[in-house]
Amino acid sequence: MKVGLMMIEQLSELYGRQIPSRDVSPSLLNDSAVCRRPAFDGAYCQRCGQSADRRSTTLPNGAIYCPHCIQMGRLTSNDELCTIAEPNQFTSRLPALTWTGVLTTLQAACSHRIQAAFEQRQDTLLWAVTGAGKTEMLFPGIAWALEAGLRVAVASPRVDVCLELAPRLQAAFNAVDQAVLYGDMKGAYQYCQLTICTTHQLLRFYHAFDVLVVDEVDAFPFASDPGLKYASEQAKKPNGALLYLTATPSDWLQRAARKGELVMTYLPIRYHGHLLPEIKVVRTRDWRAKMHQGRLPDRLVRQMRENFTHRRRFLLFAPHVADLPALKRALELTFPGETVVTVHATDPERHAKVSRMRSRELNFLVTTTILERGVTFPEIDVFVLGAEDQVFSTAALVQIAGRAGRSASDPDGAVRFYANQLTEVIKTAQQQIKFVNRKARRIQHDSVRPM
Amino acid sequence: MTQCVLCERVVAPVIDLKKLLDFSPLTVPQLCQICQGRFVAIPPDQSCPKCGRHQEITTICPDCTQWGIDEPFINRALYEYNEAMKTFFSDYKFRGDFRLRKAFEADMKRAINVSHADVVTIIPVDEQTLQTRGFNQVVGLVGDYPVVALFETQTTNKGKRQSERNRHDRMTAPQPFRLTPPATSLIAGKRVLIIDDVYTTGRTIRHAASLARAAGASWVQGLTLAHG
Ligand SMILES: [Zn+2]
Ligand SMILES: [Zn+2]
Ligand SMILES: [Zn+2]
Repeated sequence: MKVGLMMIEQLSELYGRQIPSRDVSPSLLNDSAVCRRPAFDGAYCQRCGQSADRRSTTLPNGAIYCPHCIQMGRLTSNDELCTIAEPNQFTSRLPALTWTGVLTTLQAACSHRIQAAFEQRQDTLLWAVTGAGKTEMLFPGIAWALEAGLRVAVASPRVDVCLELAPRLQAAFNAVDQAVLYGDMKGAYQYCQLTICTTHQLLRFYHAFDVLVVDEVDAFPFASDPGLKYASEQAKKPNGALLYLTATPSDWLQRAARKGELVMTYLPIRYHGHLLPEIKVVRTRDWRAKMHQGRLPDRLVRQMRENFTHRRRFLLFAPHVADLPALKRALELTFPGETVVTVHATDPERHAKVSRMRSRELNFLVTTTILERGVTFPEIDVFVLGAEDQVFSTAALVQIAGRAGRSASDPDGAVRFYANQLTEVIKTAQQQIKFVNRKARRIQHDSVRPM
Repeated sequence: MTQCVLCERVVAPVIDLKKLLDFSPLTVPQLCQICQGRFVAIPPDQSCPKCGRHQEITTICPDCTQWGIDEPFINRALYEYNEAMKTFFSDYKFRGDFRLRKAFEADMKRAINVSHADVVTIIPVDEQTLQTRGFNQVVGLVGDYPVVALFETQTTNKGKRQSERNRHDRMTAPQPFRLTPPATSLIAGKRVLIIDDVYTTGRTIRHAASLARAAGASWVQGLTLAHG
């Protein structure tokens, strides 16, 4: 049974939420605490803020429905959304933070700014480079909010990120009740002070959170779905604080920051104190056609040979799953002694292959964009064949480049993009990395002087 | 510009040489090639002659022999009920995305036309389902093709959903339909085509067919979008 398809039986399940009346037990509907509002304002869906096209979404009974957020259960213009104003009914136990780790000086400075934004109920964009250690930086601010009896949520567009975050947050705040919500979860919804959920689940909240953190805002599907942005703004209280986290801010975020709708904060230095490896572009000529004849770009071959000689491991990215068989063949022809392993998003052996790379059994791994987030290997270089392909967004390229130099023992991995053309997308990725590195140098320069 | 009903990719009209030669209008498909490729069409000459199941041979399938050789009902199914079709029905019927009804409209209309039926009717859904879903999914599938309501559900409460019942429950289920008041005068001596979304055990559509035959229809056949 999916969350939300279950009938709501308790008033607390409506605190700060918006649930279609047909999913609420009839015995609750007439309770004076329950506020009901029409699901549509004209053609505009009040859950996701998008407009429904009357021509295609009018049902035989004359009602229209919202196709944008239908994934969360169809909402029609005959429906009402039920809410109970968020009462912040929590019994806080002090101190909330049970984490005993230590932040670097820069992380601490950044976390102070985050806490200040929470206290001042400010909407903020934190541009933290890949490998900055941003989760830990949230801890002091979240601890302050929980101790103040506020309701807090951390949302990510990706289920795997939520599932990875949940145990870390539970360990850091182990006396605080925590709800984890995502599409295929088992079990019922529970009213908790701390919620970890996918951004889609935010569509079910209304003026609930005093503090809402949205992680990875540049990731699919958040970046391409204005309904989810609307949902995150509506899920927080009108006087709540919203914090967007990103490693590669998209245009709309940078615009919002310039217009002053968001306060932009930077964390341009990785937790180990080093800069991001910059992207070097190597031009190729029609690499795909050559690859199908079993050949690879000379410069890539030379680079790989050098890596093999120095026992320097690497990831080789390709644009499409369909490129992998020909690429594997070309690699096997070029490097007869090497084991070539390819992996992609829906590869059933994905986990086994990734752990072979992790255990250093493999010298390299050939992959599509799927490993761009979350998966990290220490001491590797990153090569991208066909970086000009439209499948790569600026955000994806910055994330891919960010796989290099993740560990303190080896902060400088090489990043080479082999591309037929130097596209705008590649240039923007290069510029983003250069931009944060300039900021980082300034901070490093300032911090050597006594404060 | 037309977009694929299922994935919203832009679809171009198909230039079919045969159609160009006989001057019929170019058709713009509702599905892109990628989506269309996920569905498996059932060719009439590779199907069970009774229920329309996709198979290599054209002898009666094991399920149909259970109904008995003398059972006169014949069904034609257009597609296999594979993963793609399951997803389609879960989005269209259970999630209620009414826009998706257009996906197979052209296929359904073509099949109706070749049947040369006099009266085209549909399997009704019960009042409660109609209320929550907001539409009859079978009516949606044939678009603006005029259908006649010959059947209505007898009980307002279905109890378990069809998908929750096991095969035996379904095979022995009592007649869920009755004829609508004008039905008898409309079907005496006529060719009647009954349309449903999915042929599963054949119990539901056979119930409807027996009512039509008893009311004097000269020929009764079934047409379903899927078989499985
Ligand atoms: Zn909506
Ligand atoms: Zn499509
Ligand atoms: Zn059969």
